[in-house]
Amino acid sequence: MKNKFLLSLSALAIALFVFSGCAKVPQAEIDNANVAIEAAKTAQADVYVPEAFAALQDSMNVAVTSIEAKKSKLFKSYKNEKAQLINVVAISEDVKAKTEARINELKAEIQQTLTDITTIVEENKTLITQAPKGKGGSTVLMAIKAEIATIETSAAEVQAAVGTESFIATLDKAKAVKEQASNINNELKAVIEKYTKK
Amino acid sequence: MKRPFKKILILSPFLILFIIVLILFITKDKPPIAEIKDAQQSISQAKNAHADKYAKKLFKNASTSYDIAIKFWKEENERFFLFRDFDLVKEQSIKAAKLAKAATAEAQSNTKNLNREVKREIDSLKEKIDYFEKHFDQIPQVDAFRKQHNKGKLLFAEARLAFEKSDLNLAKLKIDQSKKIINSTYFQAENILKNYFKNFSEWQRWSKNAISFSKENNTYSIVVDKFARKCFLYYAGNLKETFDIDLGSNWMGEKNQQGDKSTPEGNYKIIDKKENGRSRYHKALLINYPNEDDLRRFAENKRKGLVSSNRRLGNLIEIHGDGGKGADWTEGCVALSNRDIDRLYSKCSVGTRVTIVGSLRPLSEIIN
Repeated sequence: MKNKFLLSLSALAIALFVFSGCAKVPQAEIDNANVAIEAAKTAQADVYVPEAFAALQDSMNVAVTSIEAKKSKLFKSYKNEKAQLINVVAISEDVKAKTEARINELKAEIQQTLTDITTIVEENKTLITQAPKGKGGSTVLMAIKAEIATIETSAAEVQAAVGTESFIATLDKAKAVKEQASNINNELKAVIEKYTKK
Repeated sequence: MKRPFKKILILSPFLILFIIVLILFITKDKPPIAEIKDAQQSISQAKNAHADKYAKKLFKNASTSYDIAIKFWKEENERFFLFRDFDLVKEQSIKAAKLAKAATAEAQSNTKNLNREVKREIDSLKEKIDYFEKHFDQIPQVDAFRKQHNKGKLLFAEARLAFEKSDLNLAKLKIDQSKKIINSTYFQAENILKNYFKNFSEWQRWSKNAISFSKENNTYSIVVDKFARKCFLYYAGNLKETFDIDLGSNWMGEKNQQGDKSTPEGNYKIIDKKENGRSRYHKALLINYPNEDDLRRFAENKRKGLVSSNRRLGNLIEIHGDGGKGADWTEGCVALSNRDIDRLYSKCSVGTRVTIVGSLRPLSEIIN
């Protein structure tokens, strides 16, 4: 009886000793997660969805920490970490999809803003013909004409910049140009209103 | 030897070894998981506080320390557990957390300061742009650098939009670029004005003489202030009426030749009163332009080659109606609204003195 107990204990000790060292680090899952994160970064997730990308990196860091913590344990199982890493891959794909959606949104917004600019500039050109100028061109109207020309040049620059720089930067420039065009539009309408009242 | 005893003898070293290993494992130093997690959280918080943008150096150092800690940890984990030493891992983790917390604090402080600084600069530049448009936009010579000024305005709009989005670094970059251009065009426009106002003492003298003449002779005198776009009517030295005026598109400076769309400066008098039908405008007061001074200056300019020899000085400068458009549209005449020219016309007669000056207010008063 005593012998049987010792034999079982020894067998258990050996088995535990062997199995404790046998749990493998989920390297394939780590590699997959890294590849997925890299793909999200290549899609410029860090630029277009920075918060989501930071959260993704945090998830990966947690998984890595957990794996390293497990390595220091005698009895280890990487079941949870595998699940975490599979989740990181899923999050990466989601972040990548969100990035692509955001880029498409920005592209559409840029094109819409450029269309708006063209419409406002055309209206401004019509308004300028209705503005007071008498026998000669007034300095104010000359100034407005010069500003319209600058806006047209800038709009062309924005159009040319699409795809060569961050879509956020291009949209910001387009918005600034639109704002200037709208300011002129309001200014011209005010002058014409004043003129027609006379 | 009995068989059970033999078995025990064989298995006991393994059992003893296992127990020793177990004891060593339990008593051995553990990895600094709490410190690593603290570092991880601190870096994440720093990132949320945009320390990667507003406390770059500290954030980079925190990230580097964290990466080193993880690298050391991985390396130590590769070693046999008896030889693992996590001191450096702990040290780097603590350092990373400390640096990340400092980065968060610095980012918050920098964001606050930068926010205040950019806002102040935006407000200040907005004032300058508004000022430019109020005082310089109507200076004909500004056309030469208007394109540059407009570029500055676009950059200003970009700066403001970036500020609204709390992208302070971009806002600062754009406001600096805009400021450089706007300051340059402002300086050029200001210089044009300063040059123009060199004649101010003469203008002052002319207007004083006109008012004195009106006082001494109990008569009307007209004083036109081109810069203020105002026409003042004096009687017996007292200001009686003030009218808004429109001028020629190239109003600034003296009239040098026919067709330059400039309104002349000098002392004149009304030489004809034109009712409807005799003028293309709603009433007109014709002045004696060019006077002797104008003729002398024109001849001098021709001699100096400033004016082509086949050019003429022009004439038919009037104070007429159909004005009040809020724009400089005449060929060099002074235009009043029909209601105002009716009032002026009724009070003036042939011989009424007309003094046209660049400005009645000094530049220092206008600029400040």
